[in-house]
Amino acid sequence: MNITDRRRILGPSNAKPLVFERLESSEQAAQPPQEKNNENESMYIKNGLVSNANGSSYLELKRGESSEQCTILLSSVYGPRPSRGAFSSKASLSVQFKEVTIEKIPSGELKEICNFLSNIFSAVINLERYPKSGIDIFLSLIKNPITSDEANLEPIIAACVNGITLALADAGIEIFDTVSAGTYKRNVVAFSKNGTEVVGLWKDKEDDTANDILSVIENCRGNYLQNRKGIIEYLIRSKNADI
Amino acid sequence: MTESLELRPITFHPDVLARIAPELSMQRHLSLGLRPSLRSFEEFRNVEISDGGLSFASNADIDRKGNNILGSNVLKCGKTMVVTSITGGIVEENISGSRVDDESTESSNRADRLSRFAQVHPVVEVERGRVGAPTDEEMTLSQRLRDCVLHSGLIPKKALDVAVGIRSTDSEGISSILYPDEEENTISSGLKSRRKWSYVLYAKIQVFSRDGPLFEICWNSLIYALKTTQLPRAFVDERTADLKIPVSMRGRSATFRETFDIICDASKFQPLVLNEENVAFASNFAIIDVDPETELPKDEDEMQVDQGGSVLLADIQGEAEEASVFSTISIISSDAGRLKHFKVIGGGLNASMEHLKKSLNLAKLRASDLSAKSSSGDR
Repeated sequence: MNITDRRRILGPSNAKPLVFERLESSEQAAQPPQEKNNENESMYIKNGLVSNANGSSYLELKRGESSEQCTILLSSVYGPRPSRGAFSSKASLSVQFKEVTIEKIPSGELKEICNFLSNIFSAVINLERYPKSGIDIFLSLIKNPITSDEANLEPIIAACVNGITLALADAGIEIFDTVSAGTYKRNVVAFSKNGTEVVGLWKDKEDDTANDILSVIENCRGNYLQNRKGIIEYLIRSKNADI
Repeated sequence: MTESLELRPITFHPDVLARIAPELSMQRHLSLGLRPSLRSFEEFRNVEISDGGLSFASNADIDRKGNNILGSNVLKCGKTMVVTSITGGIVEENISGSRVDDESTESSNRADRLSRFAQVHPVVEVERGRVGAPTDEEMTLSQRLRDCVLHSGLIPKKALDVAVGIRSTDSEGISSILYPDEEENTISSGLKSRRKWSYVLYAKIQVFSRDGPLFEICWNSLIYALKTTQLPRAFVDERTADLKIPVSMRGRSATFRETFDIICDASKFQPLVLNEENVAFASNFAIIDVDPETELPKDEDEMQVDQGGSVLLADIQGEAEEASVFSTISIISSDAGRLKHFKVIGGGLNASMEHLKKSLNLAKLRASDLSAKSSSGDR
């Protein structure tokens, strides 16, 4: 059976992707920024950019001075909107993640990210308050700082957690707490309730802090408090600007 | 027993009225000399552009590993945001052995005109809060963009030819790359005549906050992105340049095929050469009849617009306009007034000559405004 995609314009079938020569100098240059993790990180937040979504947030994370190491994530929340079919006493939640420009994350890992995020937010959104409805969250990664072929997903996942929280707040969907995430080495921990409750923990398989889970959580908490402070400050400031 | 029935007029918030009775809302606005977006009739939305720093060539010292975006543009028009990224591929062209130089066979025949121009392969995605197969709108947009790029003659085929260099490593282990167009060397000329490669351009266009017709916005963003596009230099390794692999097909025809691994230079780029006189920008217009019935009771001192039945609106935006407008004009014009695309949908109204002329003039003005943006945005 011919399974070509006839809905999209795909171009010639014998085209090969561009293969770039590997530069030795750039490989060395790529290493250091991964080490100094949470230093000099700045976050730019803007809510409500996507006008046809119920709520949206735009996050720009910069590490240090350079503009290259920059993550840009646009999250939009659609819902609560009526869901058809069988009655459900709770809202159903779905998370979709898409890379808008460079596609580098393998689809299996994308699915894992979506599952991880929807698990976190199922616990955080007051789903009982929205029966018979669906809440759909769409994440669009516009710029990705990963330059090596091997994906370093942790900063992106942390940005997703922060972005979704902001978008939910923008949409006016009831959440139990402003959830935020912190990263440490190759771990992401999402917290709520002022860092006393862990709502999600992501651990990469290549992580070297295998046994020391408590110190990982402790390190992530510092990062979490910093991120949450940024989020809350932004929300208060934008609320004051509205009035 | 009779119950007294009281009829009271209902008032709606403007947004609600625009949703439930778009035509009424539209006519009410028009009678005030305004549009639902509060722009005047022939006013365009402001357009902000940037290259977003997405492509590898936009930064001088960016680490290029893994970034294969050749050109990019972020365009914001009103609330609508379009992110366009251009990626590439390399395709080997089949050339028959007898044809060595394609310039000699190039004819000025009209039918062959299209064969001199290249196309891009756009995929438009509009975020609408749903997942699934592309919508009709997305498919139509992609196809229309592809056709318009091809027919406008924007990209000459020659601009996409790969001038393949050869990397040679000398005895001291220092490799150098020789390009046929940079130095007069005879090494690669033999290779060049036998094989021909060209770049393929893909455009990924992501639209956020759809608010009105998208073709013009996507087109403009695509043009800006193509203007920033840089093609990497490509080369083959010397060792593989003479490699021959025998392939026999069931013993009948034994052919010798060489396969080359074309590697792109991560540090050398050339801008994509566009046919500058064919660079054009798009704008759209609507023609709508003003219905005097829906006018609100007038105050004597209100500003009165002298209506000649129908009015021309520039740059369609918003639900009310899109829903109540059936006659549209879409124009792609260069700043010098060269028309590249002209589409009129009558939709029950007669687009008068006057309106068409006016829209052409406005499209030209808009194009010169937009092209001025790209030259200032480059810096």
